[in-house]
Amino acid sequence: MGKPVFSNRWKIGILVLLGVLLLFYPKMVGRYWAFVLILAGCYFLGALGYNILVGLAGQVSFGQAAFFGIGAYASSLLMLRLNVPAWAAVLLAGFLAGFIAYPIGIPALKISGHYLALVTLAFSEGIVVIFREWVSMTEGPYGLRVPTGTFGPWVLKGEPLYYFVLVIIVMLAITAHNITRSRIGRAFKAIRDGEVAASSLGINLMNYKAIAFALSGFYTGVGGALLALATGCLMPWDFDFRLTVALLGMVVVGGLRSTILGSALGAVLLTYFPEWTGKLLEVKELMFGLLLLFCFLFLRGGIVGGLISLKNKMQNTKIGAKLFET
Amino acid sequence: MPIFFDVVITGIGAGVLYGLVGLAFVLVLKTTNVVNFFQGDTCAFGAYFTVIFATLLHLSLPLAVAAAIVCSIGLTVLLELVGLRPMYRVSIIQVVIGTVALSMIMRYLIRLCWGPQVVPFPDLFKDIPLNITGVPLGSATLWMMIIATLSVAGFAIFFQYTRWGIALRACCQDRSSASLMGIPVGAMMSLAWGLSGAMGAIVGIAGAHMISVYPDMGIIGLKGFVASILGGANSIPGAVVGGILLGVLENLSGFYISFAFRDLIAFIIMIGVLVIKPSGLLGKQVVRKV
Repeated sequence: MGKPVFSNRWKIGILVLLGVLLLFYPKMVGRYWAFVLILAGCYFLGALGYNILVGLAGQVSFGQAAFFGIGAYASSLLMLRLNVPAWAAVLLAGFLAGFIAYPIGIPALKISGHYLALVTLAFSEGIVVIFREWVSMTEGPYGLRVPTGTFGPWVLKGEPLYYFVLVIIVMLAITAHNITRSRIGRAFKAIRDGEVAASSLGINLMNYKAIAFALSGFYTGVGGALLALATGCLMPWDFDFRLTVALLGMVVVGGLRSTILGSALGAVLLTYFPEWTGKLLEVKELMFGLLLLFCFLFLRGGIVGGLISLKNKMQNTKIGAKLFET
Repeated sequence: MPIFFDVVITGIGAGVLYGLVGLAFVLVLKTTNVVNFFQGDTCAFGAYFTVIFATLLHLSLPLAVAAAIVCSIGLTVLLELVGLRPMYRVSIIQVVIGTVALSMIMRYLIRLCWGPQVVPFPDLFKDIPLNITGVPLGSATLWMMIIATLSVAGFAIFFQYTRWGIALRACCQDRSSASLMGIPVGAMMSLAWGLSGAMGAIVGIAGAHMISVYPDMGIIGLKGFVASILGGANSIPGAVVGGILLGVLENLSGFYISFAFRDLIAFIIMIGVLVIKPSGLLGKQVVRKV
């Protein structure tokens, strides 16, 4: 048997190439496209949090936008009112979102599926009401202006912000990668594949569901905090159900079963998509809906799922066997 | 004290609408096991179809309303058949997300055709004034309550006494046994979706003056969810009771506590009910067997 073409060495090579590309990306394409990639990165964290919950632990949530919003508002308010440095505000906001998400996992023991979807949806809409009506704190419909953060000598704007976001995202993605392969990640998968079986194997359902929500809240919250830094202004209705649907779209298009790669592909694709279509910006919502339906009807595993099944099919051919044998 | 009763009665007015939306929602949930996120948008179908028939095609009002209800039923059944039915076997969660996608598409199409603004809706009850002394409601709201109550009663009779209604309830109870008894389950699913479309259309038309006709008017669907959860998501009368209760509670809290946080109260009620008694007020506890 010959040496397979796509071996681990290839994977490392691709990762290194991607890393170099990301490092020099803002130099190559200029400020605007770097900004778009920052947005994609923030949504990536949101989608990653969503995927941990839905794809990995099998818990349904329609409240992801709330965690995103909590992260965004919390970090901005910490910076604005308490003069917390940006990196600490981002982390604290993530922890706060995780902390708020944790107790939602507890009713998830009693209720599942549809009802969980509804509880999380109600929670999320309720949070938007608070953002809108608690004017003395959040400025409500007037919009909250986010101060520009600093990190050491750098002002977090343009290129420094890009690298700031990049470092945080890479760290969090590596952490997520390790979590999926840890005891916690395996417990999540067991719960997803069969709650009864999982609990009979000694997995504490309540505890792990709550952990899944907390982790998801943390990732999404950090995403929201970074988004606040990037956009500079927060409106309550930025965090309503439409954001949840957008994040969900990224997860579904990328692939539910592929936590990191799927979320990243989905986020980048769906953030760039309206930029490329340009004039078609107005039909964004329509395209979103159609894309979701298309994925469900024809591409159930999302892009990554589609690629994997393509690979499995290729393996049965002669050339494919040479390419993919490991 | 009289102001308290005024607030309660206005609350009941809104509550009947919520109850009707909740009823449609329960019906679909029980027959097809799907949480239908475009339930609220069926109200928009009804209202916009009425606008088409009455204002653009100049049909007489009763005819326009009837045509609008028929069209909404057709559209709902069609959407379910094309967009959702193929996914039932895969995963129910994906179907639920599919309903979200359909809702987005429909809202977009409405916005594309009419723009985001509120559309003037023909005054249905101009020629038939109704005034009960001492009740602080306009005749339109009174008619709305009467229509909603009558339709609830009509649907109840349908479920209780007609052959199709009984077959539908059999499907609600147990789909596979129902199909073993010779009930065409696929047709029953379409019937349930069609009825949900009809209920939505009635809400959209009768309540048009209250919820106002705009592309996102489907938001009332959320209140319908809360209503059905409150009453018990597997109980058909529960949805109506829950709706009325929600309307009253919402109105009371809006009046006595804070108008701005009125919507929050609905959601807090819902989360509370789901956490404390997930089966709702009138729902039966479903025992899960392993």
